[in-house]
Amino acid sequence: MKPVGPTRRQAVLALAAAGIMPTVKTPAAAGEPARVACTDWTAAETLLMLGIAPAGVIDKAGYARTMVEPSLPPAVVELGAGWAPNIEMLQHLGPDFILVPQWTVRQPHFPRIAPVVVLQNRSTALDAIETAKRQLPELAERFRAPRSAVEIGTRFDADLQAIRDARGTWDDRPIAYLNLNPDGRNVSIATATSLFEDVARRLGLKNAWGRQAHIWSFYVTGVEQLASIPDARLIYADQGPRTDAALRRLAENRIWNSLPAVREGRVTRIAATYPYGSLPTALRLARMLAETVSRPAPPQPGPVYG
Amino acid sequence: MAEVASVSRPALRPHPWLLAVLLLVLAGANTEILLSRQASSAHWLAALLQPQEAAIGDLLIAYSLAPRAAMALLCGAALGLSGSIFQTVLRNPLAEPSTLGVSAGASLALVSATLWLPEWLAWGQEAIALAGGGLGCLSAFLIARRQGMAPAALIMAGLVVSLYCGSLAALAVLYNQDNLTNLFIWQSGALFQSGWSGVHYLLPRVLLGAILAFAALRPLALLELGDQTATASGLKVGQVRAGILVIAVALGCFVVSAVGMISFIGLAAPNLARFCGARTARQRLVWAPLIGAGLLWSADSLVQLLGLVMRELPTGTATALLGAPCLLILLVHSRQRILPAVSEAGLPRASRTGAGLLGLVILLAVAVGVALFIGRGPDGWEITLPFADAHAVLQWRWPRALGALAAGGLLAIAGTALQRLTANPMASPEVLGLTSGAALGFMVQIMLLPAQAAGAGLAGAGIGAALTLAALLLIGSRAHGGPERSLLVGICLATLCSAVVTVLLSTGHPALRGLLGWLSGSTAGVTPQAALGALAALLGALLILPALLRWLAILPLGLATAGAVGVSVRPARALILTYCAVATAAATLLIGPLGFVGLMAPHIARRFGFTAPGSQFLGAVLVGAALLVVSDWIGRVAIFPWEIPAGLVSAFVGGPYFIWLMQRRGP
Repeated sequence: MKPVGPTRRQAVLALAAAGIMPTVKTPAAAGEPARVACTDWTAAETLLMLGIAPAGVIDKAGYARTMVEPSLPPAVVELGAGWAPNIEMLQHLGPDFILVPQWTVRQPHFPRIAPVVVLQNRSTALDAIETAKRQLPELAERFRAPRSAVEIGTRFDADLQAIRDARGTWDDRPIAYLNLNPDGRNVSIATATSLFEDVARRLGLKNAWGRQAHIWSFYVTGVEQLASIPDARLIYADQGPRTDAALRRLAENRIWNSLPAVREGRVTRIAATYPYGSLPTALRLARMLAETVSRPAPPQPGPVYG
Repeated sequence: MAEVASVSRPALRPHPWLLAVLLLVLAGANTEILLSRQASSAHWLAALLQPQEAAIGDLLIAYSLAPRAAMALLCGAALGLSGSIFQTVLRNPLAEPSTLGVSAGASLALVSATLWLPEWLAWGQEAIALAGGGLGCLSAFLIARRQGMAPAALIMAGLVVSLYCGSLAALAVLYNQDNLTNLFIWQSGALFQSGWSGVHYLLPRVLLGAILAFAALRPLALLELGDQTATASGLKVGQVRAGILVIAVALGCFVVSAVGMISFIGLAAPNLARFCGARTARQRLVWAPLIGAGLLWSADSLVQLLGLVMRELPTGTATALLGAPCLLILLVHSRQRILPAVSEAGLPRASRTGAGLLGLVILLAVAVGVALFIGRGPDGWEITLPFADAHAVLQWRWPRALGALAAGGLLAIAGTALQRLTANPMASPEVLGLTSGAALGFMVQIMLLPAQAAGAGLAGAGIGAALTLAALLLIGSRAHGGPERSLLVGICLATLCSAVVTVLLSTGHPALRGLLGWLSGSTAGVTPQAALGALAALLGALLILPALLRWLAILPLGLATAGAVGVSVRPARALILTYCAVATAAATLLIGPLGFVGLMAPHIARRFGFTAPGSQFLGAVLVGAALLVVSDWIGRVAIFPWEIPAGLVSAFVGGPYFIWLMQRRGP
């Protein structure tokens, strides 16, 4: 459905006219960044961080909604759904590489179009930020990135340090980072293996939620479980109307209203971030967290105090 | 089906009250532990009646634990009651509160609201789910109206509505992945309470439903005896049936709207009551609600206890994990008879099946041609011929077209064989549990192994399907009785597997993207080897088929008849089940657990006039293959470059078509 830029179209036609089979790659000129197709948003974010505009990305509208920044150039080709990147479109695109996330399953076709590079996310040994930093040099070299990986890593550390230094010490309470379910009864709480935890730890903040069962990010449970962390400060992601609906229903929830954090006004709203993002997402989350903990929570809209 | 084969075996026959009391005691003990964690037992009543705002323990007792227990009891009883009405009125042991499209309608409404009108959620999920469920059921009634609300017609209409709504909801979710988690919580049934509003909402409605149901006991008992007896007693069968069903549907609808989908209780509670010796409709109407209440309360209290030490499971899942083994044990040991399901009345045999088959062959050929040569690229529509394939796209198209063809044919064969074997129109490959087993295996593979190390293979899915088949044959062979029992065993296994799948899905991890595509029947990842393998499987299945046709004609006539003509029933039945299972597994590995084709292709073929066993198989294979090839093509081009999984498209294309066929040629 998404219109394709005329230059891309011409390029494709030229390629077709020349009769070049897309599996046979013409080596790109030295210094020219590689043309990389991305099958998830984190891959696209990583490429943009390296100073490369992706050749194609899945679900561009979703990227704009979820990742926000860095924004995608309009010429990037739409590759369709994340669960089934369009193979014929990939074939037309003829990228130099396909950058796929670690959890990609069952894409036996990709290697016949271009070499597949796997973007690592996190492992039992390394958190998401460390994993991303370790992999950057390899990606930068393979994709002939205009920006140096070392420089990006140093810059990230410096930015994070600056945020940490600037953050106030209004409140040293542990933080529970939540997504509110619109039913007003359930919440998802970020665990020790979430991007929130990675960022919070580097900012010198403490995650109030210690429970978890496996390596995925969120612990889904009833609101009453928040009573087990009475000292915590609650920060929830603003997911637009769904969060509004949740707040309206929570306003009538006796247990929510009796939580110490709610009674004492320790609840704050920040913009939502992609839970599986890379360094740019981490910085965005870090800025918002630092800003939030530097001042008392603003009064909540609506009858949250019940 | 008479059960003369196993008279010598001693029957295990607990009375229904024993089971109900056991479950309630278990639940009570669990709840006591939960309450003791918050306050000493002397203080419980005070906490409940006058909770201190400052004491979180009091608040949890008054606004969470107590209403949650009450809610579990209420919902369980309502589901058990609703299920036993459904099974009696529709005379089918597989019927349950969601059979007429209630859950699917409610789910679709809620998914749509969550995604597109989230402001509406502030009005309450209850109202939205209620409206959706009511609309779903109303559509089923309207479709079945032309056929006088016959049980088989109602079941078929309900299945179509469920499939259609379910596919729409699945599609909406596929394209809005960032909103997944919320929906999965609802879909797996969450009983979390934070106040008494849910109980206040549900209690009067369930009471009213129960009073009406017991007031309708006499006509209900008559309906159980069959339409002819009921009509002879002066009953207006169609109207009475619709009236009583409305009570059952409303009960199911209220539960769904209050706590989400708790799927298994409505099916299990009446069957558990039956296996414990509740023979009559009246007995089941009393015992099924009690067993249902006990089942749900104990499952929910177990969930909360386990939640103290590990990740909390959704209650709907725990219900399945607790209820399915109960039902399996009873299936193996009980000798209580299952009423054979009512199948559709005979359809007029078409005179020109040969011409019909030829027409279907031509249709399939045209479909394959379109799927291969017509497509969309960056520049719009294009026709690509084999020797002018500038973009080399045909290499991607033929495996998926061929894969769709083979999978459609295989599922149609399995569906036809199962429906003939069991004489149950609700039988389909999914009820064997193989597809759920394969899905679970695939998920476990994704979670345990790094995706790349696991390679592109579907080893996990294969192992999952094989283990499920082994369990099916092992337990099924111990469960003596008609083929209905094999179906119930399959449903138990399917429920167990899909319960676990739902839990895993509820975590909302992006790794599930790949899985969601496969779960909804996407052919995008089919490799040439897999497609050729599936084609070989289809040809093999067709070659073996003539050897099985005689058994398939004789087995449904009952054990005595079969024995009289020299067919030894058990090995024959096991062999046919294995045949279906292998066919299903081969198709599932290719395109995931598809709902529509295996169920509908046999019915469509019948309505085309292919009623003799041989021609029904051939007709169903051609219908199934053509349907999936066309669906795959539509899914590829409709919103290019996005994909719509063929499995979902097949429900959109096939559903309305089937309804039209039903209206036109209804018996």
